[in-house]
Amino acid sequence: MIEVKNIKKSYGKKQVLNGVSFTADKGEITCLVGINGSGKTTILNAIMNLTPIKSGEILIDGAELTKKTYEKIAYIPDTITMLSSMRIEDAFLFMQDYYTAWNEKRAEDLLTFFKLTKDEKIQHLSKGNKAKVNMILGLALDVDYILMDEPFSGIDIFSREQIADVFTSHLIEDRGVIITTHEIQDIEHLIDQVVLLDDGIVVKQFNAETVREEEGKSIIDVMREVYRP
Amino acid sequence: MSILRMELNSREPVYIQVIRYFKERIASGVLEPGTEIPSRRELANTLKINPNTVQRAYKEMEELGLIHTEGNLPSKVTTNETIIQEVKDALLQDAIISFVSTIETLQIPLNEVIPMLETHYEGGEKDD
Amino acid sequence: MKSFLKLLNFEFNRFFKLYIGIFVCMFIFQIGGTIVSSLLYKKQINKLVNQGAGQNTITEQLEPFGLLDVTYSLYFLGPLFIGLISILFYTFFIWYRDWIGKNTFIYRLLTLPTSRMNVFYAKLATIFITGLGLMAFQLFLMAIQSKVIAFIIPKVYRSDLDLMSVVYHLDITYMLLPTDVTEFIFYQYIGIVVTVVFFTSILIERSYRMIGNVYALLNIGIACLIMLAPLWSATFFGYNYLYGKEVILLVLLSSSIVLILSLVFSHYLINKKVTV
Repeated sequence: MIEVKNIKKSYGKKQVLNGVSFTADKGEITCLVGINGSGKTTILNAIMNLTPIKSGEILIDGAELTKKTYEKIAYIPDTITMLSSMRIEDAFLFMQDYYTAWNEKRAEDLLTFFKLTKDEKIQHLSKGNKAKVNMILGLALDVDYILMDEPFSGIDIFSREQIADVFTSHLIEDRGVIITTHEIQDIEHLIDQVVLLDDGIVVKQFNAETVREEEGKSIIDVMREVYRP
Repeated sequence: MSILRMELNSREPVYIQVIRYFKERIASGVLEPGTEIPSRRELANTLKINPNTVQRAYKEMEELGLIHTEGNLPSKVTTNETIIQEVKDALLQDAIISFVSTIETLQIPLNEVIPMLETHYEGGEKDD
Repeated sequence: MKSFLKLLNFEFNRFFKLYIGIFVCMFIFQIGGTIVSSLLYKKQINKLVNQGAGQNTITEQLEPFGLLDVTYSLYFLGPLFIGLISILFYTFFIWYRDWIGKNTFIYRLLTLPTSRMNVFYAKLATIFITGLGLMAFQLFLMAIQSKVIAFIIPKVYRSDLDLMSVVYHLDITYMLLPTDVTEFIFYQYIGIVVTVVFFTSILIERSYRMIGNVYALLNIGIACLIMLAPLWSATFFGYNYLYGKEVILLVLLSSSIVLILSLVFSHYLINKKVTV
C-alpha cells in the first residue's frame, strides 16, 4: 500500500499541497483527479522522492523510500525519460543494465502489442508512440506499483485506446496503480478508487463502484458536486 | 461466446450491469447451459472495464448459481434448469413492473392494453 | 561500484561526440598552424638564401624557430583554451542537460535503484578524465608539432627543446601538466575539489532555484575563502611566517575540508532537496 500522509509543499509563496492524504492499494487502480495545476504531478514526484516536501510522510508498504524501492515502484511521467538520441533498443538495454526488475520478454511483447520496432530512434517517434515507449519502460519492470502521470493527455485517440487496453490486461494485474488525469471519461470504468484534489487538498476519496451502488451517481456526478458548489 | 459491445451506464455499478448482461443471455438461451464463459481478464478487456469489477460480478453470479467453476478450468453456465427458469421469471417480472409503471401513468385500462400488446409482440417476432 | 562504472561509461559516451570534436578542432588548428608557420619561416630562409646570404648570416638575422615559438601563437593557445573552456562549460552542462529539453532524463537518473551519489561521482569522474585526456592529447599534439617543425626546417635554423622543457616554459601547460609528480597530483587534486564545489553549487541551484543562485554563489565564495585561507594567513601573520611547502600543505588541508563538506552537502541535496 502507498500511504500519503498529510503532505505539504509550496513553491515560494504558492502553497501547492496543503496537507494531502490518501492511500492506494495493491491490485487497485487509484485515480488522482484535479484541474491542471492542482498538484497531481507534484504528488507523484513526491512519492518518487523527486521533489522535497515541507512536511508529512509517504510510506510504501509501510516503509520510507530508499534506493531499493525503485525496484518496487515505477514512474511513468508525462514526458519520456530516456535520451532522445537513443533507439528503443538502447533504451531497453539501459533499463536492463540498471534494474534487476526489468523484464525484457515483457518489454518485447509490449513493443509488438504497440506495433513498434526496436531500431526506431526515440526522437523520430510521434507523440503517441513516444508515450507508448515511455509506458513500456515502466510496465516492463516487475514492480508492485506503477505511477502514471496523465497517460492520455495530448495523444491521438488510437494511441489512447491502446494504452487504455493495457489497464485491462495482465500487465496491470495485481499491481497497484496510481494514475493522474484531468479528464476522467477515458477511464471511468477502469478505475477503482478516485481521489479528488482541489486547492492542494483531497476533497474526497471514494470507490467508484460503491458510489454507483449506494448513491446511484457516476464519477462525473460526484465531481460536479465537489467542484461546482 | 461472442460478446458484443455493451453500453455502460456510468451511474449504475458496473458489476450489476455485467450480471444483468449475463442473465439476459442465459435466459434467452444465447448462452446455452454448460457453455464456457470468458475469463475475467478477457471480459474486462473486451468491455474495457476494471478486472476487479468483473471478478466481483463473477463471484456474485457464482453465489447465485448462474455459473460454476471447477478448479482452474474456465467458468461455465449452469445446467440447472430451475435456476435458469428463475432468472427468466425474475427478468420477466422486472420488465413487467417497469412496463406497468409506465402504463399506469398514462391511465390506460388493461383491456385496451392487452390487444395492442399482442399485435406488437407478434409484429416484433416477425422482425427478428 | 558496478553502477558507478556503468554510469561513468554512460556519461562518457554522452560527451564523446563533443569531446572528439574538440580534439579534431585542436588537431586541425594546431598542426595546420604549425605547418603554415614553419613553411613561412622556411620561406624567409629561402629568401635570404636567394639573396646570397650564407648560413651564418641567416642565423644572425633570424631567430631560430622551435616548438616554443609555436606554443606562444594564437593558433596554439586558441584551440587549447577552447578545449579547456569546453570542459569547463561541460562541467555545468553535464548536469543541466538532464533537466532541460523535452526528454527529462533526470527523472530516470534519480530513480535508478542505486545511490544517487553514483550519478554525482560518474559525472565528476567524466569531467576529471576528459580534462586529463585533453592535456594528454595536447602533449601528444606538441610531440607531433615538434616532428613537423623538424621535418620542414633544417636543424641549423631550429631551436630544439625537449617536450618537457617546453611544457615547463609555458605557464598554461605547466599549470595543467606540471613536470613534477607531486605538483601534478596537487594540481589535479585542486581541480577535483573545484569541480566538486561547482557541482555542489549546481545542486544548490537545482534545489532552491531562483534564490538558489545566490546560495550557489555564496557557496563558491565560502569555498574559495576556506581553500585560500592559508594564503591569506601568510599575509595576515606577516611575510615568511610560513614556508612555501607549509603553505602548500595547509592549502591541501583546507581543500580537503572543502571537499568533504561539499560532498556531504551534495549528498544531502541530491537525496533530500533536489527537484526534477
